[in-house]
Amino acid sequence: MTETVTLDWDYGQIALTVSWAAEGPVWLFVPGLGLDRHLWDEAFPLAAAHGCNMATIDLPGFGDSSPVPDDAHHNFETHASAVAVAASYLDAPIHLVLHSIASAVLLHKPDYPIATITFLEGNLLTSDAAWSMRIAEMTAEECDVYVERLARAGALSFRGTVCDDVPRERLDEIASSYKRLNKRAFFETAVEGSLRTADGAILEAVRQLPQPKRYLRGAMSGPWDGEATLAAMNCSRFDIPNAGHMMMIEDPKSVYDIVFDTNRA
Amino acid sequence: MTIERSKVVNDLIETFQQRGHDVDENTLLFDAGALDSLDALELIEQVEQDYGISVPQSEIVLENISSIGQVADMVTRLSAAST
Repeated sequence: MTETVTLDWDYGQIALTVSWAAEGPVWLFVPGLGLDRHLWDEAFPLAAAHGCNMATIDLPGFGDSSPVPDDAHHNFETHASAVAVAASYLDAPIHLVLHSIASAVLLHKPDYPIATITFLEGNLLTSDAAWSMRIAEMTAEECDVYVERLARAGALSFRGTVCDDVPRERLDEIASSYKRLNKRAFFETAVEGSLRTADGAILEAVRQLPQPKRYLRGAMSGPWDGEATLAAMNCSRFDIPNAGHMMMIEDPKSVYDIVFDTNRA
Repeated sequence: MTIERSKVVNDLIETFQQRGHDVDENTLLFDAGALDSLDALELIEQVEQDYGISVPQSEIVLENISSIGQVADMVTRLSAAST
């Protein structure tokens, strides 16, 4: 059974889509910068095939979740608390799956039961924050123009970062999140997420967490100097061939077969 | 007013050359590093302004902006359609 629910939260409302297959843990997917829960649409049939429960969340100001009020900030404290509200609703051990800058929700130690953490090219090293850092160097007004261009570019905004096999219609669908996002949410999370990546705060927060961790990287994303970092925190690494930063749409089966099989470490 | 394709080509070659890119109308702009996806949107906004056209969303596809020649084709086609 798949349902989309709206959860009340201190700062507004959070949209969550949940698919239940059986009693047990839930894989909770958190999208990266600018994207919404439809990023994970390919996961639902594969979760069912694996007999896994899964949920996808829109962070505040993205997708169908409301932005925080003007007197609050879109920082990763508020966003982490939104994820905690979702976890509370799910009321089960959580396999947390974080794409890109969503890793920053771990800046605030989760108080809900986490079984495992899987990063899809999560922000751990400065080099992981190249795009968001470029945004962080803009003024808020420049960023507004940038977001409008992303929205207008649609599928083209992924040119050079997504393999050519992904249908344009699917990329347009994913890019439609740029049309709906709250610009303040986009800018403020880009700034905090990139700065906290660069100063090592996210990495340190991740190191402090005892849960098993896995890191998936697209082989097409190019060289990455995080090997020692992953080894030092006993984090398993998996490479996804023929995929890059948007691996979950480029090669969903390879990605989700790993994500839903937590025995693979 | 009809826009001459050759004028669009020459204007765009000059624009890219001013940015330090040695291109002709057939150069594949993305592959040559003369354009990224967000530059492409700037380019579209520029031709809209320079030639008084509106580029609909359906035209914002790789096939229309991979080279200066393709951009010129799109501009002249949209211009002709609006007159």
